[in-house]
Amino acid sequence: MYLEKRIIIFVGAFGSGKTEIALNYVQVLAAQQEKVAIADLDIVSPYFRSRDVIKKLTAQGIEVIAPPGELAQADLPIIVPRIQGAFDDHELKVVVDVGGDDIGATALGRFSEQLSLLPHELLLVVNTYRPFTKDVHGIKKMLATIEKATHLNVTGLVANSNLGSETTPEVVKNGLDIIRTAAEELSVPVVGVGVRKDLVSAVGDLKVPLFPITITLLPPWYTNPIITRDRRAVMAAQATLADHADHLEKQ
Amino acid sequence: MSEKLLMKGNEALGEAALKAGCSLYFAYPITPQSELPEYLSRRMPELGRVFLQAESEIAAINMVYGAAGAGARVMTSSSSPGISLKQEGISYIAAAELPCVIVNMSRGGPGLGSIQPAQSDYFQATKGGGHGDYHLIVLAPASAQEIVDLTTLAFDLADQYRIPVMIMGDGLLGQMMEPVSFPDRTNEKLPEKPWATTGYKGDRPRNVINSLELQPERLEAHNHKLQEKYADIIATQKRSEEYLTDDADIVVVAFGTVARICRSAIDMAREKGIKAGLFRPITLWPFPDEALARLAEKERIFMSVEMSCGQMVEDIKLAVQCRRPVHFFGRVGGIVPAPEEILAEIEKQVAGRCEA
Repeated sequence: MYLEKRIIIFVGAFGSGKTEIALNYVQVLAAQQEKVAIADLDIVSPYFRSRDVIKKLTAQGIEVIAPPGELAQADLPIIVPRIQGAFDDHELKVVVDVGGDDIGATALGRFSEQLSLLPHELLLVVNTYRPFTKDVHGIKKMLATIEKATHLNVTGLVANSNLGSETTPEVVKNGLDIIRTAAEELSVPVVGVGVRKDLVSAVGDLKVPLFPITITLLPPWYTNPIITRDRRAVMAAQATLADHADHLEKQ
Repeated sequence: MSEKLLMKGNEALGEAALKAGCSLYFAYPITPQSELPEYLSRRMPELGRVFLQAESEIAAINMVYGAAGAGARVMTSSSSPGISLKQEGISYIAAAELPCVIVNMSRGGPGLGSIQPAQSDYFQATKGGGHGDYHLIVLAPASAQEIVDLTTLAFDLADQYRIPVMIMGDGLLGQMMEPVSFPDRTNEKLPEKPWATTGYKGDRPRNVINSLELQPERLEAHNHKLQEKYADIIATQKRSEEYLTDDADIVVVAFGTVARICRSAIDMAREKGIKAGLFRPITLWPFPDEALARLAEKERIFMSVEMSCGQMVEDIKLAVQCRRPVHFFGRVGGIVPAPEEILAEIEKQVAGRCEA
C-alpha cells in the first residue's frame, strides 16, 4: 500500500486498528527517506495510542506531533497547534491518526476547510470482527457518521479484519469480501489490506495491495511481539510493498 | 457459542451483561472504563432497555438500589475514585439484600491518582469499602473471554444470594482487545423475586425495601442472617486457577491481568530450570484460602505480585498461616510490572532460600 497524496488520514471505528496502521505506514514512508510526520489526533482514548511509541519513531527521523510531556498521559482533549503548520508544509508528508468513531473524528472537523484545499486521502480503517462494523450496513453507517463529523469525504477503505492473536488467512479473506461489497456500494476503492507480517505469505494474492503490519502496541505478557517471526514472510512482504511502490511510480 | 468478535474488555463486559438479561444500567463516565457506558449507550436503546447517564456516581448507585429493589437485573460501573463515591449506596444495597452488579476497572490512586491500571482497590472491594458488617462477592477476570464468563456468573450469583457482586478489573483489562465469543443462552427464566417492589395489588403482603432498623435486637438478628449467608458463600463459591504448581518451589500469587504477566515470567523461569508456578484467585472474596493452604503443606515459597503496595498479600499470609515465607512484589501508580522484573524477583527469592 503506497499512497501519492501528501496527507494521509486514518479514521474508523474504535479499535479498528487505525493507530497500528498509521504507525506502520509512517515507518514505511520514513524508510523511503520521505520527510514525514505523524500527528496523534486521538483525543478520545488515552490508552494504546501513538504517543506511547514517540521515542521509537523519533529515532527514525519521524516528527511526532502529540501533546507534550505528562499531558500525553492525560485524558484531556488536546490538539497541538503544530498540526495546522504541518498540513501547510508542502515538503512534508503527514500521516494522521484520528480518534475512534464520529466522536473521535470530530476533532478532525476543525481542520476541514484547510484540508479541503490540500491533497489528502481520508481512509476508513475497517475490521469486520469489531462489533459495530460487522457487515456492509454497519460499515456504511460508520462511514456516514464519520463524514458528517469531519465535514470531509472518505476517499478509500483500508481492510484490517483481524481477531488479534487468533487471526487466520480466512479471517482476513472473509473480512475483505464484506469490505469489498461495502466499497462497491459506496463507490470508493479498497486501497489496501492490513495483514500481520507473519501471515502475509499464507494470505497470498488478494488482488488488493497488501500492507504488512508489525504490531507495536501490545500488553506486557507478550514477551515477543509476534509469536512466529517468519523471516521469509517478512522479506516477501517487503518485496511486495516495494514492487507496488515501483509500480505506482511508473504509472 | 456465537461467532468470534474482537472486543475491548469493557465492550465484552457490556455485551455479556446484555446477554445475561441486564435491563437497566446507571453510571457516570470515568477513564478507563468509559467504553462500557459508550457501548451500552448504543446497544441498550436498540434493545429497548434503559441506559441512563446519571448526574453523579452517588446518584447512579442509588438508581441501582431502586431498580434492584424492583427486581430488575441492573448494573453500574466506574473506576476507583467513582467507586469510592458509591460506597454508601453499596452498603445500603448489601443491607437491603438486593442483587446487582458493580464493575470497577480500577486505576492508580490514592486520590484522583492516574488513569493507568492498578489493583490498589483490593482492600476496598474485599474488606468492606462502605460501613457496617457486609461483603460483596468479588470476581477478578484475567481476559476478555473470562470477563464474558464471569459477568454472566456475577448476575446469577447476585440473584442466587441477593447480594451485590463486584467485577474487579483494571484499566489494562478494560482497554485491551481480545477475541471473544458469547455462550448461547436459552432464554432462561430469572429466579422469582417475591420480595421485589413490583406494585401492590392486594394479592401478597406489602414489600418494603429498607436498610434502616432502629431496634438493636432486630438489627443484630439481621446481621446474623447476613453472616449466615456469607458463611454459605464462603463454603461454596471460592474459585481459583493453578498453573504448574504441582512441583513448584515458588508459587507466585496474582489476580487479573497481573496473573497473565506472571504466567509469562513463570514460563521464563521454567526455561531457566526454576520450578515456579502460579496461583490465581478468581474470587477475591471469598478468598480461595483452602486451595492455597493445600499448596502450603509442601515446603515452598510464596510471592504475591500486585499492582498495589501489598494488599492481597495479607490474605495470602492468613491462608498460609505462617507455615511458609510469603514475599511481596508490586508496582504502583499506574505502572504495569514487566515479565522480566517479576522473573528477577522470582530468581532473587529462590536464591535467598538457598542461602538460608
